[in-house]
Amino acid sequence: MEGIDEIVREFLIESTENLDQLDQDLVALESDPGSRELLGSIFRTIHTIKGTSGFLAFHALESVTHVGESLLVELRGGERQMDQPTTDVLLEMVDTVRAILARIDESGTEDGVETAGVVARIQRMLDGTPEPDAAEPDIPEPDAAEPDIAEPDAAAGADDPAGPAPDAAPVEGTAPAERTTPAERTAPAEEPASGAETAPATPVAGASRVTPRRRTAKRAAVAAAQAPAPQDATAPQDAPAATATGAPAATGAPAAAATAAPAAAAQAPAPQAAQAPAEPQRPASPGAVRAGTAETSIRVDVELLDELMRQVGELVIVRNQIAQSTGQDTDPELLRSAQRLSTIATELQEGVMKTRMQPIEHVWSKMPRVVRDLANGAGKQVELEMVGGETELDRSLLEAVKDPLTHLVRNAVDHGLETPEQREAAGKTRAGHLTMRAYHAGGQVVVEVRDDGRGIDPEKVAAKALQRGLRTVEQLDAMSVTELQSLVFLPGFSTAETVTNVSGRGVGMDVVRANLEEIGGQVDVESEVGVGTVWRLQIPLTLAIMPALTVVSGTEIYAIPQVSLLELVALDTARTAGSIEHVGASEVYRLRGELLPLVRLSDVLRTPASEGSSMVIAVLRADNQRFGLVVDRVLNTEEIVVKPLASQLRAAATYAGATLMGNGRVALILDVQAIARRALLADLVEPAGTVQQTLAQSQSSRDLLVVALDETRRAGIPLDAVTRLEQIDPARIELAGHREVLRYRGSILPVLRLSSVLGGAPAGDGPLDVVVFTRGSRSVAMVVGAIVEIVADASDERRPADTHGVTELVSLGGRVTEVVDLPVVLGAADPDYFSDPLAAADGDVDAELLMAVAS
Amino acid sequence: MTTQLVTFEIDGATYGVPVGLVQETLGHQPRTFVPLAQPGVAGLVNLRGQVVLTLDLRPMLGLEPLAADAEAMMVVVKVDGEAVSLLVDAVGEVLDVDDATYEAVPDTLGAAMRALVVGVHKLDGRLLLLLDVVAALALQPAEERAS
Repeated sequence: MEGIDEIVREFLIESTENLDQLDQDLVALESDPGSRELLGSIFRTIHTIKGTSGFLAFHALESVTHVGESLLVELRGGERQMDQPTTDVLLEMVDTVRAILARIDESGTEDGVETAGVVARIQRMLDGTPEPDAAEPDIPEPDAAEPDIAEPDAAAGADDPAGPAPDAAPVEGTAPAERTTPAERTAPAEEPASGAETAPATPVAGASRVTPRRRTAKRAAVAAAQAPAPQDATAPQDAPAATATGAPAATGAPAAAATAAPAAAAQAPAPQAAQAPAEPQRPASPGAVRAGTAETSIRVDVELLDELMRQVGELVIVRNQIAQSTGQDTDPELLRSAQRLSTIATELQEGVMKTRMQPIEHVWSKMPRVVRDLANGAGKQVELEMVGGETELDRSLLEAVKDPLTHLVRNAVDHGLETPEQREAAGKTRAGHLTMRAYHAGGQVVVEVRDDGRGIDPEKVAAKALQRGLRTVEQLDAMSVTELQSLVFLPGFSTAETVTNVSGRGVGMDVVRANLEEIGGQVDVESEVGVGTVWRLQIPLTLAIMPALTVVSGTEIYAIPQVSLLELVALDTARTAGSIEHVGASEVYRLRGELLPLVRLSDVLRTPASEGSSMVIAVLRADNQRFGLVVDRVLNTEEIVVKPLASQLRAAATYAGATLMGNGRVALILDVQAIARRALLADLVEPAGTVQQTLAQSQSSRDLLVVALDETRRAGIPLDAVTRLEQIDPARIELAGHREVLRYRGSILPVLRLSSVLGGAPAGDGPLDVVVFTRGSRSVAMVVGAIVEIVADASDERRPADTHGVTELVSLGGRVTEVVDLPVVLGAADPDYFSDPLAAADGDVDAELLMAVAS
Repeated sequence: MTTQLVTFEIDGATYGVPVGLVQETLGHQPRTFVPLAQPGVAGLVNLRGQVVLTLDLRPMLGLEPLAADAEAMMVVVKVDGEAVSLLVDAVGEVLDVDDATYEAVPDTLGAAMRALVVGVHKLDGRLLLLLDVVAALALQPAEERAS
């Protein structure tokens, strides 16, 4: 029984691989319908699956591949031209086959996969052409239609002639299956059932259908296998006429075929003996190529490779240890041996890593199909180009980038590329170009998905970010085009229902980014409106061993993945005091004129800050942001072997793993993305911190939203009362009686112009900055001159105000700011704003604010 | 029936774990401190190339944790294929204890210890507390379990 399981497993693995190739070939065939090479490859694949499925008694699978093969034979014979409906139906067949294989993999049986539909569709397509052979009125079922090519391989015969195959799977004799089995096993290099030769027909109705010789001539041999199946009696329309061809797929091992054939023949009453010997010769040619591959490559269990990789990791550590201790050693003999060991270990490490490498083609092979289906569905024309498919990646990483890559490709076709009409209007070719390119750069693999579509409009992205409360007007104004476009990676930036009409891009891009980061990679985007978009994925070569920077903070050594490191800045004692400046409570460093937010590693880890006389800023990149991680000292850059962390430590969410140093000590590997996200949380969650220089607010002080009244005067609004910041078109403000109102999120808000209460210039023509206040069920929209920033009100310079509507004056950032007396000012718009009994607790307002921003 | 237990001492009390769970016992090993980890995590040690989590049971037993630089011995236990090292004051002998000497823990035992100690073997002149290793590795500090 185990032997059978093994065969099934091999069959599944091989068939699944073949199917990916098949998708690709079929799509390619559509654009190159005449290619005999492609047709041959497709035919061989399907034939192989069919043969083996019969041999393994997977009847549904056999019936599906059988009709598919029939169609392919017509294509190959030139009776039928490849067109879109044909491709569709063939792709559908591939999908069905894949579904059946998945089912077998899961449950060991093929039950439960719907096959009748696709079989019938292919059959209709076959019937649709005037095929004299097909005109068998009494046999409407699939294999009857194209009898001369219907070919249940005798070798692949079912064990049980009465077996299922509801859609008229060809039914074969019992004996061949059993007898052939050993024969097949003697030739392991070939697909088990490929022998395909044939048990000649029993003289039943179908037998005559075997006769057409036109095609027989084309193919090397055709033998008829007629099933004397019980079905004949019960359901004559099922009467499977079966011609078995020794199709090209009968790879290799003529011996096997030869053995199989007589076996089958012996069982059949009307042996067409002449055909059997003819049989093996034809298959031999395609088989020869495959056999060559089989001799030079073997399948290896992935677990074994993982284990090898682990052991090589150990070896690398020992190598590092020895290298360290022989540094001072004077014995030249030992030194030479150590160097030799070092070289061998490096080579071995590279070699083992290579065994786990797979070309990225493995993932790409699905793309032509994805692109084709999407393009057809969206009425677009897409030319897909794939460059660098041979670029290799560690298999675990390959698996991990599959979904993000597919997502990007879908997105590019769905949203990036325009329809042919739009493209023509824009002076482009009707067909959009989509290029996937993979290459090595800087110890990483870079994968680009490039389209020449409409590009990402930064204006629209900005509007979207503002609308969703992710960024304020001020922040957006301060951003470069690239920064704006990168907003599509923000969680909550896009939701399916709105994104298409805003940016056309960005569905779930935060997920793409998260997936990449999980494996230590990164993703960014470059786009020009009207010209196109490039998504660039950076993927580490392997997870197991990576280059890292080792640093010291406090008493411990930490490793920072080199991938995240941009540069190092050493601060000496004398300059340290002055070179780190403060914005609010946050430390910043002027790096070539730009402010770099600083995060002290000792603060992140809550370890005692060191009193050391020097420090180093490691400038790191995370999520398109730069920040400086302050550590005491930098030790080295070295290859480290990543060890997984115990589950008990994962809760800390600060470490990406652990590693062993040359001295045998354990060092923790920092998770730069997680640290950045936590340390720069203020920047991500609150609009508060997001004015460029203001990074994190001290929690002790009150936050003020600073707005401009006019050119010179500034007012501060306590942030905790603010629900939302908006920018609106002045035309949206309507008059109701003598009052201004704004329709906003399903309700009508009284509008208050701050300048009318506190004085100041009336608003100009441009968009209006509006602060929305909500308390319980009441809301007020306040029009302000401009939203400037949000700052912590920690000023000592302050005095009470005597102006109406102002509580006090404070000095913020060197300017006097008037703090707005909200009860008075909001009372002017809605007298009951503060007196209305609150249904919800006050805290809800804040929560809503944060949620709106974070969502 | 007798059971073989590896015994060790923590804060003057003798504990035992089934010998089958114990991979080895070791002298002091330098530990790498893990900031932000839960109470009870005493660091990471390099055990012949494997990074092994080290636990200090004291907080879970309601005792003051060991100092970060305390030189404790280690009992390495293996649960679900994962090795974890427990810090102990001293490693004792491997004892064959008779099931007849076994008794459930007294009702008066504090909640902290009750969750980690499954029973008591009455030995000559002293008591041997049977440690629930799986519960210990779950790393819940005493006060959380009590609540």
